[in-house]
Amino acid sequence: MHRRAFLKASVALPAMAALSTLPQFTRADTGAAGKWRVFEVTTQAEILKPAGVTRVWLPTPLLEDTPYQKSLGNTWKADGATVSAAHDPKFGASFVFAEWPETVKTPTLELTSRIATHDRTVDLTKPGTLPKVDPKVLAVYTEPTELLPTDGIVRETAQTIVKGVRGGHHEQARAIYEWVVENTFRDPKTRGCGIGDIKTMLETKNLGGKCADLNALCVGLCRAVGIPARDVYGVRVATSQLGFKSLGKSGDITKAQHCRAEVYLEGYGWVPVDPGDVRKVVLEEQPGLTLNDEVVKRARSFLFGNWEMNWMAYNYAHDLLLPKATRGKIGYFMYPQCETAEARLDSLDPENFRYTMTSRELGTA
Amino acid sequence: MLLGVFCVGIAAQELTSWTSGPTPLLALTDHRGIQHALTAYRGRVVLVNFWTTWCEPCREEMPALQALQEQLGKERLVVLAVNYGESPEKVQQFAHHTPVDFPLLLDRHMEAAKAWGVRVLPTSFVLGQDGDIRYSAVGLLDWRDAQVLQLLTALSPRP
Repeated sequence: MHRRAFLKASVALPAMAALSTLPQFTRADTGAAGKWRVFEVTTQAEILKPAGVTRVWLPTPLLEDTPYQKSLGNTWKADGATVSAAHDPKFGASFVFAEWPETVKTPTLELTSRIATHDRTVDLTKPGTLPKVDPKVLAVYTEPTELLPTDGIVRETAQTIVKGVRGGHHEQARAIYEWVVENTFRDPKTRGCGIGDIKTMLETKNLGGKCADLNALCVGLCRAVGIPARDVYGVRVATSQLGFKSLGKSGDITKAQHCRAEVYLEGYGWVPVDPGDVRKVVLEEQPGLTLNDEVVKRARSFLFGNWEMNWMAYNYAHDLLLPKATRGKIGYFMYPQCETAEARLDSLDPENFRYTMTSRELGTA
Repeated sequence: MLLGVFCVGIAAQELTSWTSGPTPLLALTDHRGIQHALTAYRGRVVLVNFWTTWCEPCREEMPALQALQEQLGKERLVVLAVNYGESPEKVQQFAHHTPVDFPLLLDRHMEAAKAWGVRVLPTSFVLGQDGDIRYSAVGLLDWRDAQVLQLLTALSPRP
């Protein structure tokens, strides 16, 4: 992807929108009439050992307004840098891009994003009449990606799961969700949120990982049998109000990145799912839990069709080549990214690339 | 394109015979700044091991690789431990705490890992005296295992 393919949006973004500009919503998500929570997330990135030109890319909240999240604007500060806001044309993944010349010795970028969120519920007992979605848009979400192939062992596994399932995409997606919940586990030793290399997971029969692995498996298996599905990369911004201690984070959210998933079902639109968080509840909610415990059953039932919106969505992007990046594509864009003249810095190595993220709730609207 | 590798605690049960084609190039600098090229090690068995400091099974494997090197001797076996994408400082720090007697090569941009088709860490390749890959192991392998030792000994030049 050429840099020029990225669409600059800096004119629209720098000023924070006033909270009173929250739009009204009319859509199938049944909870849209209730309260909206407003959050402010601040990311501060610092490059400790710059070399030559330094470039940083920070993801910003979903560009498009949805029934569960509205972006209220982004502001940023980066002394000595050229800064712009942009988004990629395929997925709409938006970000702030800063570039410092060699003369700047301690490049620092601070980004503040405000969003409004609304808990998300899709009533899967009542299909509605939704506006027709352009098949070309949906086709993007049945395509294979570098780490989500839809042939070979992925397709064979998906076909085995849905074999004999009566019904259509709804029932098949549910079967895949249940299979992921039953056959994977959250591995606390997985670095960051995982890689999401689902072919290798299936080939090695190592179905342990974190959200970017487990939810990617759900997405890839769905795509392999023709169900549009996508990972939604983001970060937790508040503790859970639903009683799940393990499914929330407030204040310091530097390590609270979390990927969720959506499947597209005729009559319902994009349906929120999160089998990865079911496995997180099993591992972390309290010691010794199994799928048979009530708290896990509650999470398992809830996380097919619902998201608690104590979380901020960034994007759906895979295999993204960031503008002016010289070290190839990234598998997904959930962590701050940085390149110096020497290398792409490891987003999970605070000795070289230090960043902090904080979240605070500003109120309701 | 290399998007990241999977670090797994799975154990490679055994060395698997290699049937996937010719040996990719490998020419990298180690953490002391010394250049290494595979071609310089013809006539010896070479064990190429891809690892990182954040991969627990990789770290676990290091003492066994060191023991293997000592047991067979440098005239028969060369271990080249290729670090996946980390900074020289990070690797030097690791070497300080975990002294090993073989080079820790720096694959800063993960290009060697890509060329060698590495998707899981650790992954190891065993090359015969002619430089051809004979075996591979995906995941943690017990390099002290008698059968593994027997295979490597059979490949290596006689003492």
